[in-house]
Amino acid sequence: MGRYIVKRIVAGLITMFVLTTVTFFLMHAIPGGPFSPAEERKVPKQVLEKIEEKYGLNDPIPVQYVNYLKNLAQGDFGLSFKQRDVTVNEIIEQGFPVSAKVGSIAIVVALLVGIPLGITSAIKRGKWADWLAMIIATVGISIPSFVLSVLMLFLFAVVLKVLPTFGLTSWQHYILPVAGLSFGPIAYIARLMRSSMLEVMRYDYIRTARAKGVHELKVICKHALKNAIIPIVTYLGPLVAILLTGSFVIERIFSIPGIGRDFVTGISDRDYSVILGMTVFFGAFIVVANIIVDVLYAVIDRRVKMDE
Amino acid sequence: MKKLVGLFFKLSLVATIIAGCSSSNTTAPGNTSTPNTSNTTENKTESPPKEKKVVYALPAEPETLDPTLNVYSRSSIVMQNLFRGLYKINKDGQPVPSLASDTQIDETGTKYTFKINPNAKWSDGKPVTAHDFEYSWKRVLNPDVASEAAFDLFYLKNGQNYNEGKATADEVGVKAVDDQTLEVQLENPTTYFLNLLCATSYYPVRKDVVDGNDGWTKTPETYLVTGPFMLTEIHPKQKYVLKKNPNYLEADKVQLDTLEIVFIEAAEAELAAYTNGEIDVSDNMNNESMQKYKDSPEYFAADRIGTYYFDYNTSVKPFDDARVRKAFAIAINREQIVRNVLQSTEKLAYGFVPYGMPDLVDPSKEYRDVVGDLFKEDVAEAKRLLAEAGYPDGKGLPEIEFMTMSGQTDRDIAQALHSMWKENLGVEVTINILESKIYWDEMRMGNFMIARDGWTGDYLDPMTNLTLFETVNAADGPRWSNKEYDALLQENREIQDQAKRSANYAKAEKILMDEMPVFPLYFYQDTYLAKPHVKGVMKNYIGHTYFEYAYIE
Repeated sequence: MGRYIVKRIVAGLITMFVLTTVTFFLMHAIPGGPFSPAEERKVPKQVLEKIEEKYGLNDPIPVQYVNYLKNLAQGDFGLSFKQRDVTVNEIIEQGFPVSAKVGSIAIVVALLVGIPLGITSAIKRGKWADWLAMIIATVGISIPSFVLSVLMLFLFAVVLKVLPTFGLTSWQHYILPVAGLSFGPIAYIARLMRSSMLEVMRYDYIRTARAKGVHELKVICKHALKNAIIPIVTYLGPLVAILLTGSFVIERIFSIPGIGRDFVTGISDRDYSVILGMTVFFGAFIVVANIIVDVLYAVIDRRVKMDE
Repeated sequence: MKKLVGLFFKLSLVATIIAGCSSSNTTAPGNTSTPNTSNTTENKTESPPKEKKVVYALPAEPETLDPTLNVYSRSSIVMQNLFRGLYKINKDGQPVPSLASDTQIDETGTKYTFKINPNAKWSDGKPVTAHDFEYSWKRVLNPDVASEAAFDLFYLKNGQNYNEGKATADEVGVKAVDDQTLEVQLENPTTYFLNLLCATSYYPVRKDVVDGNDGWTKTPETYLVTGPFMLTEIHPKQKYVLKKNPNYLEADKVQLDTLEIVFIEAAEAELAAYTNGEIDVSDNMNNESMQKYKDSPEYFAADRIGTYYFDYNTSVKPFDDARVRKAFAIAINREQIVRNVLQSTEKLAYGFVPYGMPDLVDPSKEYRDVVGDLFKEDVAEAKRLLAEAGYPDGKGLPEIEFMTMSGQTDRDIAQALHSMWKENLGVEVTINILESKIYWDEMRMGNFMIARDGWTGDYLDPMTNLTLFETVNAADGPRWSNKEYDALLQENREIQDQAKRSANYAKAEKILMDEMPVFPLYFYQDTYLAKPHVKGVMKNYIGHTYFEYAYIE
């Protein structure tokens, strides 16, 4: 297993290098720069040239690239071009714990609701419980999270006045963003769980267990669930990476001070250091999450051989 | 390799999904300040709260808290409540002395001598001196600091030369003669110079906390200010807590104890927070909040000295012909666009200099009212002009491309213009919607025919609006050049006679509207909501919100 993990880490590092390189050059290929003209301010050319010189934007792109890699090797993501008093490291240090906290609660909620929903649906196949669960799942998958979030905001905060609208200062503040974040995954997990459960329930070993008179609950929880859960674990890797690094939509609607928004605003502002810093950070996160999932996968399902 | 491709796919998918949802909030350009309107409407429907505290929302954290580096309107709003300079904007929107106790202007209008009020103090209790101003102004111009705001101080003698490395700091026209006396030498007599002093770039910062400390704005301990409030808590991306500054020169007049600035990005969320009573003052208004509150006593509107307009590319056919430019400009119905399409209360523009700009001779009157409308809408005349230019009923015109940005307002306006031009002139226009950075890049390179534009001035003199179309500045926009126009504006930089200056501006604006390298649609207005118990909130003429005069009833 050790060899496998080392191999995956090396592959991950190569991936990160390629990701950084491609992002760097693509980013510079987009028209406009961090200090290019905008309606906000018509800054004279000579002033802009001075600023670009200070930030090294006048150097040839390959020189800028090498300088960036040098700083990156020391863990320095550089200074934001737009928020001029702030470093990208600070943006990540301040925002990531917030996004990660909301995201992890959402993951737990998604699993705690999605899995039982899927199982219920599978074992009550064709009955009203199945229909109800699948209606919830279909709605969850088809309604975009921003529509749902705005609806919830107006219903619970404006009409019923039971929940606050912005910030994260008390436990009540977490309810709407977590609901908004987890609704989609709940739906997906429920559908995944249902189909996987239905498939597993047809296997011979389940029939054998039932024939031996094992209690139905034990058949489901002990025998079927272990195999049926594997697709969920696979889905969990990217889900964890996406939810922990923050959702642009949810953070925007509920004014959550996470990092989900910075990636998008970084792109529209051409804030090069923020775009690169976030890409490297998100990329590393996804790589690590995938490695962990692959290892977990092998632990759960012994048929998977890690040395392959 | 398969996994690598998979990873890219996942990343790009995530990026695409979130990028598709980017916000479209508009920001007010420019960065100076003065008040136009304050909410003093009587309303007594809610019981007054015990604490003298106001919660106000901004769409995001300010870009910077360093006055030297600031060119942003959002940052200006925060700093206009934290700092004061030599002059400030009073309740009536006029520049009045703040930290300056006396001002002498010589006959040439280029030399100013300011006395600093001996009672002016920093928030830590130390006195504000003339040396603080000299240090701060030179810091803005210092090429090593690389501030975008340097341009604001090019009025100072050798300001531009120093910024471009052609003069030394000692040659810049600002000098502290002693602790209390500041001598300022300008390049030209600038009749609106006192007005400029109310902008954040002219505000003082203190050398002992700033020098060698890049993080001086990040902790309340080192963030020393001179204004009505001081920063006591910083919660990044969440909120700033400002408390009344007991060392402020006019602290006895400041009535609020606490000003909490929270950051709410989405306009719909801000509306919910306002309706829910979680914030007291809201100015990020969308169509929904307009419809809900437009007729309530909680709604306020203030003119901003800015104009929403369109550039023609006068270097390409058919817009190299003034008759075609005029035809397009007068063939539309502004009333219908602003009132019905945008559902807005903004004023229609039949000239370029906006409302909110006082007349130079009689400041109690509006410049716009004194000069009057400079053109009128007339479909028959538009058709005649188009035919005269060789395009009867639009026949023979090349394919017209209309470039605009992705915001909802811009798209709505583009659709309305498209149908009006088609119906009234028989011209089919192609709408091209671009992301903002690409948009400005295309405009700079001249890859457009008609393009959406907008500008808010910085100070109360029509120069701030009309200078956009001097040859040197129009090169990146309409690519229009008129020697007489340039000469009129240049003369206004050199003379002090306001009657003559006023006549020159009116003449220049007439040339602009006759030649029509740009056509205006409407004048900007700032709208905001304030809870009935919050009074005296003020918006200056460029949309900055002031709480110095606010109180709780």
